This record gives sequence, structure tokens and C-alpha cells, in this order.
Amino acid sequence: MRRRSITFVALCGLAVTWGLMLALDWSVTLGTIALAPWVTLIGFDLGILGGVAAGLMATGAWLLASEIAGRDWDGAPLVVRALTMMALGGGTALAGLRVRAQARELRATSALQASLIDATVDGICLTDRDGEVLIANKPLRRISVELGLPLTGTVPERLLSIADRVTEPDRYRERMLELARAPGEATIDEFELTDTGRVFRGYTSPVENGRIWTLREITADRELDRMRDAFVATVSHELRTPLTSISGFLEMLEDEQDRLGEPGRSYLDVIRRGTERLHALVEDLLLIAQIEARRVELALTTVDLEQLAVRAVEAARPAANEKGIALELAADSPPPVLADAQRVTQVIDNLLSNAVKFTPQGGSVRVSVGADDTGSRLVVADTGIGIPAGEQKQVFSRFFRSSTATQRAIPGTGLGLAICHALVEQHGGTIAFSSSEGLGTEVAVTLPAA
Amino acid sequence: MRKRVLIAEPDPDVRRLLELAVHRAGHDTAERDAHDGVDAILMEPGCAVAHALLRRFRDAMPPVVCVSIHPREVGLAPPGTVAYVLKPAAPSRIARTLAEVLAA
Repeated sequence: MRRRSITFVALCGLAVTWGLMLALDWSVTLGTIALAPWVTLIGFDLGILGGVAAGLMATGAWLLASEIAGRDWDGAPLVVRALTMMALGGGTALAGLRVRAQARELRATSALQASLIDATVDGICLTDRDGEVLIANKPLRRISVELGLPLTGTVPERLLSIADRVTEPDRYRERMLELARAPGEATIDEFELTDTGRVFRGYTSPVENGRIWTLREITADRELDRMRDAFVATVSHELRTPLTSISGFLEMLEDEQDRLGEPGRSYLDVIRRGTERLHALVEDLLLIAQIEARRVELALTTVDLEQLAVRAVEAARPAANEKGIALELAADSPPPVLADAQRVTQVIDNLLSNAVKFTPQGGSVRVSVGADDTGSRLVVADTGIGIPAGEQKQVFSRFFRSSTATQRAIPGTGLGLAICHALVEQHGGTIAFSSSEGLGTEVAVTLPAA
Repeated sequence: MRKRVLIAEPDPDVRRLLELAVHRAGHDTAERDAHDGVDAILMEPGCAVAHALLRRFRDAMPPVVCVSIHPREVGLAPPGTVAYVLKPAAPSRIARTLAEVLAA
């Protein structure tokens, strides 16, 4: 009931009660009791002043009824009655204020919640454990219409109805059935529509007695990824032509370096180092583009990780010696792994080159290989400059360079660890990283047993 | 015996480098429009010159050595490819590959 209309009803009630008091000749106490509820109602509705006024009015009404009925009344009890009535009206007014404040807060909160979930670009809904929709936000309703999803049924059922229009229908069907079977799991899935090319990522997370489903369109992100990969691939291919000229004629010049004299030979060294760095950068760029386009095929064979580690350590030794870094290998007969020897060598080379590069003069780098629960494990630990804790989440991102490296102007592209991460994952292995700034870094790689 | 190698490379500097590699391998380069007497082809597959060459030698393709900016997996190597070298390759490496191909 709206405010003020409560007061109106209460005033009517007050008048009727007063009439009854007169007509039925109620006793003083009964009359007071009969008037009290109307006073509380008015107090609740109108606030403190209204409540007090209603108490006074009820007392007056009672007094008037007594006068008309010719009944005696005493001054002192009248004051007590008046005060009681006013306290009653005022007290309920306080309660009314509080209840109304809470209701306002609740309305504001739920309005905020509704506008928040409607304002996001993601489609969000809450379902029960069976997947029946309890609440859905506006974006989800819009996406559902755009995708032609049915408006009834459980969420997995609705999603299954478009299985024929996604790029990998069998895998998609299987995943939807798995989602329906396991309501308690948090999941992330992606699917692409064949007709429009729109790409969506769906998240589910269990909540009490149900599940939150989130559908996010990532078409634009995917397109950017594709453009970036195409750009990286084109650039790295195109760089190969001038690089061929530079390194080719460098080799020609090297054949004639006797005629160059000492300064000329030192200039040649500079060009050679620059060319090697440029070459490594082009190779890394191309490899990362290939890995992300899933164009790198692994030639899996049974591989002895210890043997690869020994070779990689020997290859890194000249660079370590040059910086006075103690480089040691501890091998504890790791079991053979199923891997692409060339790619794993690339991973170890990258890790070792990082370790040597980021370890100051006189430090140490230790490589250890041994058995692991699921295969073999290789750890490269150094006493280098480390990476600040706040930056460690990004170490496997492409082009990431730690502030410790950039401050010291240590050259690098930020591709090495991203490549290691991608290659190890493609092997079905794991790569973990831990580092303390100023103390050192440790990277642990596991590879599955052969 | 000196043999004749035809070069199909769009970049003039790299082309000059390939010529040097051919000479280093102890062979001669053929004229661009040569057809007869070509013993091997050094080419950047996928470029326009290479396409024209493939048409010209459709019937009798000499052995092809690709020296390319694209990895072999990209699938540009034409039929008749006997060796594939990824750029940037050192002239000595190209010369060695060419010598092996022509000796076979």
C-alpha cells in the first residue's frame, strides 16, 4: 500500500472506532486499546511528528467520547494516557523510518545489481543445478536471439541446438554433454560459428545450488590475433631477404679479412654479432608465429633428456666462462621421454642462455635432470638478477621483458620463455617458474615419459 | 666439369650472392632466358620469376635447389626440388649444397 493511503485508512478506522466507542459505550480501557492500533499505523506512516500528533488526537477523541457519554475522567490518568499514546505513535514512527530506510537500500541494491549485470557486455545467467535459467541479463537475451538459441530448456540443451553451426560440431556436442553432467565444475570453452565467423568463449562457475554461465564474444580479439600473427609472419619472412644479403656478403668479406687490417676486422665482428642477433630474432618471431598458428609439428621419438642437457650445457659453456659463471650439470638418470629432440634442445638452450645472460659475473648456473612423477624433469637454476614478484605472472607472455633486465640494458626480445612455454605445452609437459629479485631464478620443465 | 645453373631470385643483391655461390661451387650461371643446357636451377620459390621458369621448363625440369624465405612446410617447393635451404643461408652452404646436387 502506498504511503499516505495508510494514514487515510487509519484515520477512517479511528473515526469508526470512535463512533463504536460512543455507540457501544466502551469502557475507558477498551476504548484506548481499540484506538491504539490506528495510532501505530499513522505513526508508522507519517513519521515522529505525525505519530505524536496521532497519539494526541486519539487521546482527544477518547476525552470527547467520555464527555459525550458523561463519564468522569481524571486529569492525572489523562496525562498518562496521552503520553502513552504519543509514545506509541512516536515509537512506531521510528520503526517505520527504519523499515523504510532498509527497503530503500534494498531497492537501490537490487537496482544496482540489475543495472550492473545488464550493463556488462557479457551474457550472464544464473541456473539451478539442472541448468534451468533462474535469472538472465539483457546481453544474454540479445546474444540468444542473435544466435537463434531456443528460449526454453536447460542451458546445455539450448547450446546444443546450434551444434551443427559451429566449426567442430562433434567436439562441441561432447563438451556440452560434459557440462550438463558436471554442474559442480568451473569450465572455459570456446566455439566459433561457421556461418558468421563469430567466436564466443563460455565460462561456467558453480555457486550454491546452481551455476553462473557467462558468454563472451571474442571475435574481435581473435581477428586481432590473426592480424598480429599474419603481420609477424610477413615481417619475419620479409626480413630474411635483407638478412641473406647482409650475412652472405659478410661471409664474403670474412674470406678477405686479412686485407682489412685490425680495425676492419673488429668492425666485421660487430657486424657479425648484430647479424646473429637479427637472425635469432627473425627465427624466434617466425617460430612463435608458427607455434601459435599450430603449424609446428613435433617429431616425437624416445629421447634421453640427460644427453640433450649435457650437449646444451657444453654449448653454453663458452659464454658462461667468458662471464666467469660456474656452470654445472647434475644428472640423476632421468627416464627416457617422448619428445622432439630438436625442440627440447631449443628449450634447454633458451633457458641456459637466459640463465647465463641474467647472471652477473662470478655467479653460478646449475642444471639438474632427474625422474619426475610422470616422466623426467629438468631444472635450470641461476644466481642472477631475478624478476620482481609483481612481474612474474607475465614471464611466459610474448615480448615480456622484466624491469630488472631493461634497467640494466640487457638485450633480448622477450620471446625465449614464450617459445619454451609453447613448446613444452605442445609436448604435454609443464613449465614452472620461480624467482627472487636479486637472488636468482629457477625454471623447471617436466616432459612425459616415453 | 663446369655446369650451368639458372638463378631465379627477385632481389638483385641476393641474386648476386647466389651467383657468387655458384662460382664458388665451381660452376657457371646461365642467362636468365636460357632454356637448353641448364643443369640446375637455384630459385626462390613462389616469386614471379620462379613461376615463369616452372612454365618454361614444364616438360624437362632440371634439378631444383630452393633458397627461400619461407620454411619448407609452407609447401612452395616445386616438383623436381632436390634440396631446400632456408634463408639467410651462407653462400658457402649454398655452394656446398649445389656442388652435391650437381655431383649426383
